Amino acid sequence: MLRESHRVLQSSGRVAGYVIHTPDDLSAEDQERATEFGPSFVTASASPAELAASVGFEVVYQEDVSADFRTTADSLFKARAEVEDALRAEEGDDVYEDEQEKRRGMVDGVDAGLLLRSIVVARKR
Amino acid sequence: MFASDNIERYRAAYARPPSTTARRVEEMVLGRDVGLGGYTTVEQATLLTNHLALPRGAWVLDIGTGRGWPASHVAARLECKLVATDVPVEALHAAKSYLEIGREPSRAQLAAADGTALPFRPSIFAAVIHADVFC
Repeated sequence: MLRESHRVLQSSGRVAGYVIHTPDDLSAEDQERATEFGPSFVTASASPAELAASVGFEVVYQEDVSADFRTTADSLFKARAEVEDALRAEEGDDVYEDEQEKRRGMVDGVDAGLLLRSIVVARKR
Repeated sequence: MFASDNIERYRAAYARPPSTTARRVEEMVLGRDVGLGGYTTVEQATLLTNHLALPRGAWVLDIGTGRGWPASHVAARLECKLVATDVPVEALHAAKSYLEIGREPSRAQLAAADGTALPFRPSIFAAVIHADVFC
């Protein structure tokens, strides 16, 4: 995807976004655990900056926003739990439980030091 | 971008209109109802926008737009021309209202596309944006 972004960008164009990723140098076992906590796409072993550089980008800004991410995920989890009955009625039990499990997993993954969320801005070299 | 089992899951999720209560919860926590469990707050969407520093009318590509957040924020703030893409067509239908397509002047277009094989010519976008779609 980064390679395709690089292809369609004009010279010096930027790719910018939020990335859920794992810390550098995780063991294979922890990488597997991170995948269980986080979204299914948390599979890359290289850092976002390394991935960007590998296809011709220069990272111009990166900030770890994991603390805000944890707060957001936890707030969503708790706010949804407070209106559980209404959500179960509107979304159905399966969706409600899936959504809550997903958010709980994000919080647990950050707390376990296995998940990070960063904003990464890179310029096409 | 998508594992095959995920495609069906996302299709089903986007085909389902967000419940009124879920939208209220997201608006309270994120500052905006974004649909389908996004984590990007309004403040973070603004930070993303500020890092693009684009002239008005520049072409911006959003990969994995979902229901169009935070792309709608970026497009509105920068007055850019937005091409919003995602794999599930259901997501694009959902994004249509968030991106205000069909209203004049429309600055957004939708395209069903996989981020690993984009159907665009080289070197046409000033920026590419994304939120929690890949690592």
